[in-house]
Amino acid sequence: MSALPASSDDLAARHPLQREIRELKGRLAEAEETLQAIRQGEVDAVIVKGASGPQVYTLLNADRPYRNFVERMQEGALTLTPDGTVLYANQRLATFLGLALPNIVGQDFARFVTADDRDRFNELMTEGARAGGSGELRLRAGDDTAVPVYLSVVDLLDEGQRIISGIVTDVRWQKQRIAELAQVNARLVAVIAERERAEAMLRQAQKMEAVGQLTAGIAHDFNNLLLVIAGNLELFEARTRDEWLKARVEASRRAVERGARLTQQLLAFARHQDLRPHPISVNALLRDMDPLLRSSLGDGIRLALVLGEELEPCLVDATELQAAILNLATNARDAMPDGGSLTIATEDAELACQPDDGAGPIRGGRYLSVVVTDTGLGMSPEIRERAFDPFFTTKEVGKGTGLGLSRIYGFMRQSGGQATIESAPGAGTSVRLYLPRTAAPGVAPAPPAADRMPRRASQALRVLVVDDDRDVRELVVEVLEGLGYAAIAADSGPGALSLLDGGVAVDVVLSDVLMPDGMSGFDLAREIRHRRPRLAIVLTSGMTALSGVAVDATQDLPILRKPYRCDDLSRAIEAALEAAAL
Amino acid sequence: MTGADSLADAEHYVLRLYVTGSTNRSARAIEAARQICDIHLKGRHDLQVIDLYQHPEAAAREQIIAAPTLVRLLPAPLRRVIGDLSDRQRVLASLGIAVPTQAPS
Repeated sequence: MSALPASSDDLAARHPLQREIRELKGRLAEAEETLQAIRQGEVDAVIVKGASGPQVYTLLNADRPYRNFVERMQEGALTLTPDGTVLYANQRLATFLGLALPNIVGQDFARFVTADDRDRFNELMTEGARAGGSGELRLRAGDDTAVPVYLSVVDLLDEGQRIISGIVTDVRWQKQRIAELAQVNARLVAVIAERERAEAMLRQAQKMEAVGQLTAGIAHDFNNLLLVIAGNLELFEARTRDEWLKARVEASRRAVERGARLTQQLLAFARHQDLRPHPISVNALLRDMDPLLRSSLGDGIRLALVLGEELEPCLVDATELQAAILNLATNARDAMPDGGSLTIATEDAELACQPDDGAGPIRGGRYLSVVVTDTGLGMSPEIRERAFDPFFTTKEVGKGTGLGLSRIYGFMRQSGGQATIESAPGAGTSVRLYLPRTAAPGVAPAPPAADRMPRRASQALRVLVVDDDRDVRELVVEVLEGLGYAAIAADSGPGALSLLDGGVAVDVVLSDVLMPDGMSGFDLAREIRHRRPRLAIVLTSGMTALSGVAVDATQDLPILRKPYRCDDLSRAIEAALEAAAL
Repeated sequence: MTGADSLADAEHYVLRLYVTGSTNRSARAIEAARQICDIHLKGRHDLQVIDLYQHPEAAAREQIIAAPTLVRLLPAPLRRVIGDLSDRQRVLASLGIAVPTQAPS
């Protein structure tokens, strides 16, 4: 370096050189820094030029975070040779398997897979691993329990050598959760089913009630029609000697009787039947019925009565109960065309209290149950659900009215009991009647009276006919006159009372029960009892068990069921006259 | 401070940090680079962090020979800082970032 002051030319000449020196110094400093950094271990890796581009050479311990990462993760990790030998396994996998790592590395991993899942594992190794694959397996833990895991595998190519890496996820918890969810779901399904069942029961009850009201209304009007037809047929028959005409009338009358039975059954279903409940011993009733049941069941069906001991008597209409049992036996016979057995059992039974579903509430408590069980064809749930519906029948046209079970149902409900059906296709049918029990001593039902007393000559006795139906009124007047009575008519209770108050001479009042104008036959009877206690009264109705109508003082009055025949009418009048004369 | 440095202050910085994986040193380097950017280059920087394990080919571009390396791409010329970035003053000087002695008016 010169100590002389530099001329401006020299400076200009030296300037590019100085810049170059400055740059070189900078690069030297950078290179020295790099070397120093490497020397002092401040770098993790050095990058060198390789055949296929830059290669990263990791310095000692630089991969420790990865090792920690793999060892500590919550999944099992492993590497395998293509034939399944374990090259590496992390601690977590050892924990899964309940083994020490030295017992895992170097082993065939298939050993740790349950026998059932080994094919699946081999498939994963050959097929799945190349592009990456996964599947569910069970591993055999050290204590020989099977641990469900999710294994995902993928090929790693390390310097041309095929190595398979795998991640093992414990899915026990998920499995447990799924199982719990399935349980919760099953409970929900059960609750829903229970609710649907309750709703179906309610719908059924409402339907039965609606159908009941409808049938009661129809039957009532129908009985008036039948009465007019039957009465006129009788009048007609009395006036002809033509045998051919008599035969036609007889056929018509049989049809009327069939119609009358039908309306009777409808009324029974609608719980408007004229029931006469008495304390009876159901066991005695069934024993009495034994021969009748055997003859109606026929040879192919065995009958077994399994009667409970020390059963309390029941308060029920014996005749209707007999009819119900016989009806059930007939149904059972029809359900067992190839024979079988019928069991009628009596036992104590509990019924839970049920609110009024339209057919009246059921008082909870102890009942006597009669269970009629057959070994027949049974019913599908759809049929069972409709079995109590009126006019629902599975029998051939003309073989059943479809009213048998509905009548039994109505009878039971009107009696304060219940009827239920259990049945399944091929498993037979079991109908259970719940009868209300009573503390009063039971008696065997009295045999039906052979026939009532003969008709007495009636010498121009005067009958006041009260009915709101004009046709009925006119017919009854005509019939009575034909029977030798003198008859006058009124179209309502108040009309009848004003006739009586007007001093008309009357020996018997024959009144319909259900009439408009706010005065029923019962009301009229009560009024007459009050004014003329010794006047004979006969009530008649197409619908006799009248819920809600006060009967009190008139309870002892006989009720003549419509439609009735001429001689029924005259017997009823004679009986009423005799009762009034006592 | 020179006028050139003052000019550089207003310039936009593009920095690229090369690391290898998630080592402690990588983590510290990333943290240091972030702090420098947040404190000294607020609002005028782009910082990219490149893992050389994932992108070894990136090393060729900036002639990286060791990791971690912090590279100043802009403003030109290119500058590299290799190794530990915890010496803030050294790094700032290497990157040519001026540190104001008092708050700017």
